[in-house]
Amino acid sequence: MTSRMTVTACALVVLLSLPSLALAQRGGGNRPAPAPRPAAPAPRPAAPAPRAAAPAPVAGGFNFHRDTAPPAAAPPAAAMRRVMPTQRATVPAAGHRFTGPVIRNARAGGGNYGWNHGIAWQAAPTYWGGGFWGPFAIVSLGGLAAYGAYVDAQDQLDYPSYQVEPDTPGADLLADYALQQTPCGPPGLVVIWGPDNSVICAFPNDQIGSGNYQVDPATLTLISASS
Amino acid sequence: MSRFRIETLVPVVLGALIAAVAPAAAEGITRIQQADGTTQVYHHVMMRLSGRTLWLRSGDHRGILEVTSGACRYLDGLQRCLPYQTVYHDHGVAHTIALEHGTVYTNTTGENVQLPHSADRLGPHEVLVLLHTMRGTYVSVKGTLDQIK
Repeated sequence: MTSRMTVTACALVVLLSLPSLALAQRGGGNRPAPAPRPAAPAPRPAAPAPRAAAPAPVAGGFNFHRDTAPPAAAPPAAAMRRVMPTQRATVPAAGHRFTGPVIRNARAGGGNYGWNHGIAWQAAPTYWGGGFWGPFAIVSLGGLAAYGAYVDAQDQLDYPSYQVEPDTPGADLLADYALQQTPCGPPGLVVIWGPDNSVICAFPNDQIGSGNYQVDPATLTLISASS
Repeated sequence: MSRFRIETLVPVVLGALIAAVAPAAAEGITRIQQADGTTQVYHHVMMRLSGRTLWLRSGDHRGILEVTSGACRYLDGLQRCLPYQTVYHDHGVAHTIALEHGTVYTNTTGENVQLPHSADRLGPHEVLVLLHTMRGTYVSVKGTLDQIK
Protein backbone atom coordinates (compact mmCIF):
# COMPACT_ATOMS: atom_id res chain seq x y z
CA MET A 1 0.00 0.00 0.00
CA THR A 2 2.78 2.32 0.99
CA SER A 3 4.77 1.58 -2.15
CA ARG A 4 1.68 2.18 -4.35
CA MET A 5 1.18 5.56 -2.82
CA THR A 6 4.84 6.36 -3.28
CA VAL A 7 4.63 5.45 -6.95
CA THR A 8 1.45 7.52 -7.34
CA ALA A 9 3.05 10.50 -5.66
CA CYS A 10 6.12 10.26 -7.86
CA ALA A 11 3.99 10.00 -10.98
CA LEU A 12 2.05 13.10 -9.97
CA VAL A 13 5.25 15.00 -9.34
CA VAL A 14 6.57 14.09 -12.78
CA LEU A 15 3.29 14.97 -14.50
CA LEU A 16 2.95 18.30 -12.77
CA SER A 17 6.50 19.28 -13.48
CA LEU A 18 5.94 18.96 -17.24
CA PRO A 19 4.00 22.26 -17.65
CA SER A 20 6.70 24.15 -15.80
CA LEU A 21 9.27 22.81 -18.23
CA ALA A 22 7.10 23.91 -21.13
CA LEU A 23 6.69 27.31 -19.52
CA ALA A 24 10.42 27.71 -19.17
CA GLN A 25 10.88 26.77 -22.82
CA ARG A 26 8.49 29.52 -23.83
CA GLY A 27 10.64 31.96 -21.95
CA GLY A 28 8.26 32.06 -19.03
CA GLY A 29 11.06 31.24 -16.68
CA ASN A 30 12.38 34.75 -17.16
CA ARG A 31 15.23 33.58 -19.29
CA PRO A 32 16.30 35.28 -22.46
CA ALA A 33 14.26 34.19 -25.44
CA PRO A 34 15.73 31.35 -27.41
CA ALA A 35 17.41 32.16 -30.67
CA PRO A 36 14.93 32.27 -33.54
CA ARG A 37 15.14 29.32 -35.88
CA PRO A 38 16.97 30.08 -39.09
CA ALA A 39 14.02 28.86 -41.17
CA ALA A 40 11.52 31.06 -39.39
CA PRO A 41 10.45 34.14 -41.37
CA ALA A 42 11.31 37.51 -39.96
CA PRO A 43 8.30 39.27 -38.39
CA ARG A 44 8.67 42.25 -40.76
CA PRO A 45 10.27 41.71 -44.12
CA ALA A 46 11.74 45.21 -44.24
CA ALA A 47 13.45 44.93 -40.86
CA PRO A 48 16.65 42.97 -40.48
CA ALA A 49 16.16 39.60 -38.86
CA PRO A 50 17.12 39.66 -35.19
CA ARG A 51 20.36 37.99 -34.35
CA ALA A 52 20.59 35.05 -32.08
CA ALA A 53 20.05 35.98 -28.49
CA ALA A 54 23.29 36.18 -26.61
CA PRO A 55 23.30 34.56 -23.22
CA ALA A 56 23.07 37.08 -20.47
CA PRO A 57 26.31 37.37 -18.54
CA VAL A 58 24.44 37.88 -15.31
CA ALA A 59 22.32 35.26 -13.65
CA GLY A 60 18.69 36.31 -13.58
CA GLY A 61 17.12 39.73 -13.80
CA PHE A 62 17.14 41.82 -16.98
CA ASN A 63 20.14 42.05 -19.26
CA PHE A 64 21.43 45.62 -18.94
CA HIS A 65 25.07 44.65 -18.78
CA ARG A 66 26.05 47.10 -21.53
CA ASP A 67 24.23 49.96 -19.87
CA THR A 68 25.54 49.24 -16.40
CA ALA A 69 29.15 48.65 -17.43
CA PRO A 70 31.64 51.38 -16.48
CA PRO A 71 31.99 54.07 -19.14
CA ALA A 72 34.88 54.02 -21.53
CA ALA A 73 37.89 56.08 -20.47
CA ALA A 74 37.64 58.61 -23.28
CA PRO A 75 34.23 59.35 -24.75
CA PRO A 76 34.13 59.88 -28.51
CA ALA A 77 34.48 63.43 -29.71
CA ALA A 78 31.08 63.32 -31.37
CA ALA A 79 29.40 62.68 -28.04
CA MET A 80 31.19 65.66 -26.57
CA ARG A 81 29.86 67.91 -29.31
CA ARG A 82 26.35 66.71 -28.73
CA VAL A 83 26.51 67.68 -25.09
CA MET A 84 27.44 71.26 -25.84
CA PRO A 85 23.94 72.49 -26.72
CA THR A 86 22.69 70.87 -23.55
CA GLN A 87 24.78 73.06 -21.34
CA ARG A 88 23.99 76.15 -23.31
CA ALA A 89 20.29 75.51 -23.43
CA THR A 90 19.99 74.91 -19.72
CA VAL A 91 21.97 77.90 -18.52
CA PRO A 92 19.74 79.58 -15.96
CA ALA A 93 18.95 82.97 -17.35
CA ALA A 94 17.70 85.82 -15.29
CA GLY A 95 15.03 88.04 -16.72
CA HIS A 96 12.65 85.40 -18.05
CA ARG A 97 10.22 85.95 -15.23
CA PHE A 98 7.80 88.42 -16.68
CA THR A 99 5.39 90.50 -14.68
CA GLY A 100 3.39 92.05 -17.48
CA PRO A 101 -0.28 91.46 -18.13
CA VAL A 102 -1.57 87.92 -18.48
CA ILE A 103 -3.23 87.31 -21.81
CA ARG A 104 -6.11 85.04 -20.96
CA ASN A 105 -6.36 81.73 -22.78
CA ALA A 106 -10.05 81.34 -23.46
CA ARG A 107 -9.67 77.82 -24.83
CA ALA A 108 -7.75 76.24 -21.97
CA GLY A 109 -9.71 74.50 -19.23
CA GLY A 110 -10.47 76.50 -16.10
CA GLY A 111 -8.27 76.49 -13.01
CA ASN A 112 -4.73 75.24 -12.68
CA TYR A 113 -3.94 72.48 -15.17
CA GLY A 114 -7.52 72.41 -16.37
CA TRP A 115 -6.04 71.89 -19.83
CA ASN A 116 -4.47 68.64 -18.49
CA HIS A 117 -7.57 67.24 -16.79
CA GLY A 118 -6.50 68.91 -13.55
CA ILE A 119 -3.26 66.93 -13.29
CA ALA A 120 -0.16 69.03 -12.67
CA TRP A 121 2.28 69.11 -15.54
CA GLN A 122 5.89 68.79 -14.38
CA ALA A 123 8.89 69.27 -16.60
CA ALA A 124 10.97 66.23 -17.51
CA PRO A 125 14.47 67.58 -16.88
CA THR A 126 16.35 65.71 -19.61
CA TYR A 127 14.21 67.12 -22.41
CA TRP A 128 14.44 70.54 -24.02
CA GLY A 129 11.81 72.76 -22.44
CA GLY A 130 11.05 69.95 -20.03
CA GLY A 131 9.13 68.21 -22.80
CA PHE A 132 6.64 71.08 -23.07
CA TRP A 133 7.23 71.54 -26.79
CA GLY A 134 7.83 67.88 -27.64
CA PRO A 135 10.00 64.90 -26.77
CA PHE A 136 13.30 66.57 -27.64
CA ALA A 137 15.96 64.74 -25.64
CA ILE A 138 18.64 67.28 -24.74
CA VAL A 139 21.42 64.82 -25.53
CA SER A 140 20.08 64.50 -29.07
CA LEU A 141 19.71 68.19 -29.81
CA GLY A 142 23.13 68.32 -31.45
CA GLY A 143 21.84 66.11 -34.24
CA LEU A 144 18.59 68.03 -34.64
CA ALA A 145 18.18 71.00 -36.95
CA ALA A 146 17.46 74.11 -34.95
CA TYR A 147 14.46 76.21 -35.87
CA GLY A 148 16.30 79.49 -35.56
CA ALA A 149 17.78 80.87 -32.36
CA TYR A 150 17.16 83.74 -30.02
CA VAL A 151 20.31 85.76 -29.48
CA ASP A 152 20.63 87.52 -26.16
CA ALA A 153 23.20 90.16 -27.03
CA GLN A 154 23.33 91.49 -23.50
CA ASP A 155 24.24 88.14 -21.92
CA GLN A 156 26.21 86.96 -24.95
CA LEU A 157 24.06 83.84 -25.15
CA ASP A 158 22.09 82.31 -27.91
CA TYR A 159 19.17 80.01 -27.33
CA PRO A 160 18.46 77.53 -30.12
CA SER A 161 14.82 76.87 -30.88
CA TYR A 162 13.15 73.78 -32.32
CA GLN A 163 9.94 73.05 -34.17
CA VAL A 164 7.05 72.31 -31.84
CA GLU A 165 5.64 68.80 -32.03
CA PRO A 166 1.92 68.21 -32.41
CA ASP A 167 -0.11 66.85 -29.49
CA THR A 168 2.02 68.68 -26.95
CA PRO A 169 1.14 71.42 -24.47
CA GLY A 170 3.22 73.79 -26.57
CA ALA A 171 1.28 72.98 -29.72
CA ASP A 172 -1.98 73.50 -27.82
CA LEU A 173 -0.72 76.85 -26.56
CA LEU A 174 0.04 78.01 -30.08
CA ALA A 175 -3.33 76.79 -31.34
CA ASP A 176 -5.20 78.41 -28.46
CA TYR A 177 -3.72 81.81 -29.33
CA ALA A 178 -3.92 81.14 -33.08
CA LEU A 179 -0.16 81.60 -33.34
CA GLN A 180 1.96 80.17 -36.12
CA GLN A 181 5.49 79.19 -35.24
CA THR A 182 8.36 80.58 -37.25
CA PRO A 183 12.12 80.29 -36.81
CA CYS A 184 13.54 82.61 -34.18
CA GLY A 185 16.00 85.26 -35.26
CA PRO A 186 14.30 88.06 -37.19
CA PRO A 187 12.99 91.05 -35.26
CA GLY A 188 9.32 91.78 -34.72
CA LEU A 189 8.31 88.27 -33.67
CA VAL A 190 6.39 86.89 -30.73
CA VAL A 191 9.11 85.38 -28.53
CA ILE A 192 7.73 82.79 -26.11
CA TRP A 193 9.87 81.57 -23.23
CA GLY A 194 8.84 78.13 -22.04
CA PRO A 195 10.04 75.89 -19.21
CA ASP A 196 13.78 75.54 -18.59
CA ASN A 197 14.71 78.58 -20.69
CA SER A 198 13.37 77.10 -23.87
CA VAL A 199 12.24 79.58 -26.46
CA ILE A 200 10.12 79.49 -29.58
CA CYS A 201 8.94 82.25 -31.89
CA ALA A 202 5.74 82.98 -33.78
CA PHE A 203 4.27 85.56 -36.11
CA PRO A 204 2.29 88.26 -34.28
CA ASN A 205 -1.47 88.28 -34.75
CA ASP A 206 -4.44 90.32 -33.61
CA GLN A 207 -4.31 88.76 -30.13
CA ILE A 208 -0.58 88.71 -29.51
CA GLY A 209 1.71 91.50 -30.56
CA SER A 210 5.43 91.19 -31.10
CA GLY A 211 7.59 91.06 -27.98
CA ASN A 212 8.64 88.71 -25.21
CA TYR A 213 6.23 86.46 -23.36
CA GLN A 214 6.49 83.78 -20.74
CA VAL A 215 4.39 80.62 -20.54
CA ASP A 216 2.51 79.77 -17.37
CA PRO A 217 2.19 75.98 -17.65
CA ALA A 218 -0.45 75.85 -14.91
CA THR A 219 -2.97 77.89 -16.85
CA LEU A 220 -1.44 77.54 -20.32
CA THR A 221 -1.41 81.31 -20.63
CA LEU A 222 1.07 83.87 -21.90
CA ILE A 223 2.44 86.57 -19.63
CA SER A 224 3.79 89.63 -21.33
CA ALA A 225 7.19 91.06 -20.51
CA SER A 226 6.01 94.62 -20.83
CA SER A 227 3.43 96.23 -18.62
CA MET B 1 3.90 5.77 10.36
CA SER B 2 5.38 5.82 6.84
CA ARG B 3 1.86 5.84 5.36
CA PHE B 4 1.04 8.84 7.51
CA ARG B 5 4.18 10.61 6.30
CA ILE B 6 3.37 10.01 2.62
CA GLU B 7 -0.24 11.05 3.00
CA THR B 8 0.90 14.23 4.68
CA LEU B 9 3.69 14.86 2.18
CA VAL B 10 1.75 14.38 -1.04
CA PRO B 11 -0.63 17.37 -0.59
CA VAL B 12 2.31 19.55 0.45
CA VAL B 13 4.32 18.59 -2.62
CA LEU B 14 1.30 18.99 -4.88
CA GLY B 15 0.50 22.36 -3.40
CA ALA B 16 4.06 23.57 -3.90
CA LEU B 17 4.12 22.36 -7.49
CA ILE B 18 0.78 23.94 -8.33
CA ALA B 19 1.92 27.21 -6.81
CA ALA B 20 5.08 27.10 -8.91
CA VAL B 21 3.29 26.26 -12.14
CA ALA B 22 0.16 28.40 -11.79
CA PRO B 23 0.36 31.67 -13.72
CA ALA B 24 1.06 34.65 -11.53
CA ALA B 25 -0.71 37.97 -11.87
CA ALA B 26 2.40 39.54 -13.36
CA GLU B 27 1.98 39.17 -17.10
CA GLY B 28 4.08 42.01 -18.42
CA ILE B 29 6.46 41.33 -21.27
CA THR B 30 9.78 43.10 -21.56
CA ARG B 31 11.88 43.04 -24.70
CA ILE B 32 15.46 44.26 -24.56
CA GLN B 33 17.39 44.71 -27.77
CA GLN B 34 21.07 45.30 -27.24
CA ALA B 35 23.11 47.67 -29.38
CA ASP B 36 24.57 44.68 -31.24
CA GLY B 37 21.11 43.47 -32.22
CA THR B 38 20.80 40.59 -29.79
CA THR B 39 17.44 40.45 -28.12
CA GLN B 40 16.07 39.06 -24.92
CA VAL B 41 12.40 38.68 -24.07
CA TYR B 42 11.24 38.40 -20.49
CA HIS B 43 7.81 37.22 -19.47
CA HIS B 44 5.92 37.52 -16.20
CA VAL B 45 7.24 40.98 -15.45
CA MET B 46 5.47 42.57 -12.52
CA MET B 47 4.45 46.19 -13.15
CA ARG B 48 3.80 48.65 -10.36
CA LEU B 49 3.05 52.34 -10.75
CA SER B 50 3.84 54.58 -7.81
CA GLY B 51 3.17 58.22 -8.60
CA ARG B 52 5.22 58.97 -11.69
CA THR B 53 7.57 56.05 -11.17
CA LEU B 54 7.03 52.71 -12.83
CA TRP B 55 8.64 49.66 -11.26
CA LEU B 56 9.23 46.60 -13.42
CA ARG B 57 10.32 43.46 -11.63
CA SER B 58 11.65 40.47 -13.51
CA GLY B 59 9.86 37.17 -13.09
CA ASP B 60 12.72 35.73 -11.04
CA HIS B 61 12.65 38.78 -8.74
CA ARG B 62 16.36 39.39 -9.32
CA GLY B 63 16.15 42.57 -11.34
CA ILE B 64 14.01 45.68 -11.00
CA LEU B 65 13.86 48.50 -13.52
CA GLU B 66 12.74 51.82 -12.11
CA VAL B 67 11.49 54.37 -14.65
CA THR B 68 10.66 57.89 -13.53
CA SER B 69 8.75 60.13 -15.90
CA GLY B 70 7.65 63.72 -16.21
CA ALA B 71 5.86 66.03 -18.63
CA CYS B 72 2.79 63.83 -18.40
CA ARG B 73 0.01 64.73 -20.76
CA TYR B 74 -3.51 63.40 -20.48
CA LEU B 75 -5.41 62.75 -23.66
CA ASP B 76 -8.76 60.97 -23.66
CA GLY B 77 -7.92 58.50 -20.93
CA LEU B 78 -4.39 57.99 -22.11
CA GLN B 79 -1.45 59.35 -20.15
CA ARG B 80 1.71 60.01 -22.11
CA CYS B 81 4.87 60.75 -20.18
CA LEU B 82 8.53 61.30 -20.97
CA PRO B 83 10.87 59.10 -18.94
CA TYR B 84 13.93 60.97 -17.71
CA GLN B 85 15.49 58.72 -15.09
CA THR B 86 16.07 54.99 -15.28
CA VAL B 87 17.65 52.93 -12.52
CA TYR B 88 18.28 49.22 -12.75
CA HIS B 89 18.39 47.40 -9.42
CA ASP B 90 20.48 44.32 -10.06
CA HIS B 91 20.61 41.90 -7.16
CA GLY B 92 20.06 44.85 -4.85
CA VAL B 93 22.68 47.12 -6.44
CA ALA B 94 21.36 50.28 -8.13
CA HIS B 95 22.77 51.26 -11.53
CA THR B 96 21.68 54.46 -13.23
CA ILE B 97 21.05 53.87 -16.91
CA ALA B 98 21.71 56.88 -19.09
CA LEU B 99 18.56 57.40 -21.07
CA GLU B 100 18.42 59.16 -24.39
CA HIS B 101 14.68 59.35 -24.77
CA GLY B 102 11.52 57.35 -24.42
CA THR B 103 7.78 57.39 -23.93
CA VAL B 104 5.49 55.84 -21.36
CA TYR B 105 1.83 55.37 -22.28
CA THR B 106 -0.62 54.42 -19.58
CA ASN B 107 -4.29 53.68 -20.05
CA THR B 108 -5.80 55.14 -16.91
CA THR B 109 -9.31 53.99 -17.76
CA GLY B 110 -11.18 50.72 -17.54
CA GLU B 111 -11.73 50.63 -21.29
CA ASN B 112 -9.61 50.14 -24.37
CA VAL B 113 -7.92 53.30 -25.58
CA GLN B 114 -6.33 53.83 -28.97
CA LEU B 115 -2.74 54.97 -29.12
CA PRO B 116 -2.19 58.26 -30.94
CA HIS B 117 -1.34 57.90 -34.63
CA SER B 118 -1.59 54.13 -34.31
CA ALA B 119 -4.05 51.34 -34.88
CA ASP B 120 -2.90 49.70 -31.65
CA ARG B 121 -4.92 49.96 -28.48
CA LEU B 122 -4.07 49.72 -24.84
CA GLY B 123 -6.35 47.65 -22.67
CA PRO B 124 -7.65 48.78 -19.31
CA HIS B 125 -4.77 49.88 -17.05
CA GLU B 126 -2.30 48.65 -19.59
CA VAL B 127 1.12 50.29 -19.95
CA LEU B 128 3.43 50.59 -22.92
CA VAL B 129 7.01 51.69 -22.27
CA LEU B 130 9.53 52.47 -24.98
CA LEU B 131 13.09 53.41 -24.00
CA HIS B 132 16.28 54.10 -25.89
CA THR B 133 19.38 54.27 -23.76
CA MET B 134 22.52 56.25 -24.43
CA ARG B 135 24.36 53.01 -25.14
CA GLY B 136 21.96 51.99 -27.84
CA THR B 137 19.73 49.57 -25.98
CA TYR B 138 16.07 49.52 -26.95
CA VAL B 139 13.61 48.47 -24.28
CA SER B 140 9.92 47.88 -24.79
CA VAL B 141 7.54 46.83 -22.09
CA LYS B 142 3.87 46.05 -22.37
CA GLY B 143 1.48 44.75 -19.78
CA THR B 144 -1.26 45.48 -17.37
CA LEU B 145 -0.41 47.21 -14.13
CA ASP B 146 -0.37 44.80 -11.24
CA GLN B 147 -0.39 47.54 -8.66
CA ILE B 148 -1.15 51.27 -8.64
CA LYS B 149 -0.25 53.45 -5.69
